[in-house]
Amino acid sequence: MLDIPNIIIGKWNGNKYKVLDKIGHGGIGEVYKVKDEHGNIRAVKISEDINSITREYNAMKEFRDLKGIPKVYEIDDYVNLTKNITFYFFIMEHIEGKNLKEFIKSYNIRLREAVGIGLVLLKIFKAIKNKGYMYTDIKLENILIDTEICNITIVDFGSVINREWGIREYTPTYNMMSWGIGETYSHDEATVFGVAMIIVIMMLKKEFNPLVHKITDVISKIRKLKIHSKIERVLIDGLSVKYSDIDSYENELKQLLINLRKHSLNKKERIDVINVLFIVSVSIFIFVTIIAINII
Amino acid sequence: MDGNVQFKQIILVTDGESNVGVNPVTVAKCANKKGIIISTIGIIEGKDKENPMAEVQNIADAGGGICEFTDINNFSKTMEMVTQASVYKTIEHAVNKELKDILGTEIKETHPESRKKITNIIDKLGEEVTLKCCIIIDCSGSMINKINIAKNSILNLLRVLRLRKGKTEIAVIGYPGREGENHTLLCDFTEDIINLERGFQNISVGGTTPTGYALECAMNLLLEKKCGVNSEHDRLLKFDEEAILSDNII
Repeated sequence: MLDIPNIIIGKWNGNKYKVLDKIGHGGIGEVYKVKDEHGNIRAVKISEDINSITREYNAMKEFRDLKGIPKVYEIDDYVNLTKNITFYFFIMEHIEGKNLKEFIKSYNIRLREAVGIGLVLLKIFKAIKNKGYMYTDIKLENILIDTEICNITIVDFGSVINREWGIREYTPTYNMMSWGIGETYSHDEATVFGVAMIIVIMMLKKEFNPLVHKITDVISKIRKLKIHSKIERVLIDGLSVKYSDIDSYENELKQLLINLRKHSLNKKERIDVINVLFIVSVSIFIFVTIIAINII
Repeated sequence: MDGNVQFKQIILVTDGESNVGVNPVTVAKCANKKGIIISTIGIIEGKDKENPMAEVQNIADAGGGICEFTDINNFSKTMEMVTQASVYKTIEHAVNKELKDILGTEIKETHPESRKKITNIIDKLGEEVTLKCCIIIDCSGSMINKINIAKNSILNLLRVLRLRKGKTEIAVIGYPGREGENHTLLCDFTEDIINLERGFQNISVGGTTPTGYALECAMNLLLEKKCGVNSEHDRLLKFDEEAILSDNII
């Protein structure tokens, strides 16, 4: 726990922030809701680790023009000589909403919504990829949902790395290597796996630990959901690294969402058979009627 | 400092305090003087004792490393975090020292907006440095239900670290060793997952907690000295004996 003052004053830029509430804490620091001198509500990330704060601030600054990522405003130090404490912090946009882990506890998410969230996430991760970076710590806690405006935002950019580098921060449940999946590793495959796992966990409402469970346990749980076989396949293939790039998984999810919107996949395949029977019988009826009319 | 620098570290994994042999804190201090960083991971169960393994903290302090406590289910993540964090802590320290020597300034004395360059140098070094990591794993009786998770976590650690640009080698020492020995070299330094898996087949759980001796062995291994009673020569002889005594021999 950090000894946070009521008012944070930046050593270099001199801006003042009134600390309102604690929002959360991560591996390297804590996040608070603050109010600046103009009355704007912001969030501040504070840590004793100067390099982590510098790294995260600069990653977020690179992503300034991307959707689904909080804007950053400034970076500064807090120094209190009498108490002999120094913190490093940056100021960012305050995002309303719950993280997905909290959200699914009280809300029964529908398949269509889960696939939609997965698709939004893929788009954000693809945009980060196009900037030459990789977001490695995919997990429910790092995704915020604002239910009022149905907005998805990713937080905690401490894990962001240059795409040419190895990963440093991850959560085993969402990390394909922890499950021993894939002969080789690629950042794209890892992103697809992580997003597929997010969708699956939202549906199953349970997180699995690869040190205790096997991926086959997760797959058999998916089968028990009794969802349409096509959706089942896309989810299982996502967890089995059948997609080598983000684009192809994005296309699959898009198709799923389009079909789910048409409601054609909400019912069992039996319906399709009934449809076929219906069309055939109507055709026969029309055919017979035409022949009958001709005979008369 | 450049990418060819070798980073030597020991990671001690235990769920208890040493109960026999030399004082591990003294060994850690000695190893740190020789350029080895020692970090520790204490495995705790639920709400543990008031004083969760003060010794584990003291070893990390003496060894210039990081100490973390975790329950076994989060061990994999902690293992990865401690390994990387101790590498970065050391690099940051070295870069800061060079900054002070060359420019007479420290990273915290530069404007936050211009620290990016320094952080980038640290990241690049962390990515490219050669990493030799000796893991010492407690195989005493109390670890019996945790050893499988610990094994898988170490395998996973090598998988992840292998993605780095720099070379990564891992060695694993189990303690206590078999047949009343203080420790067993389960696997010498390797980049290969298969070697590591093979080494884990020799793991056996049970016995006392001679932490100090195991640390000494790890230090010698990193300094490329022979490892006391567990030298290569002794190990080979033992292996032969086992083969002779085994019923399966043709």
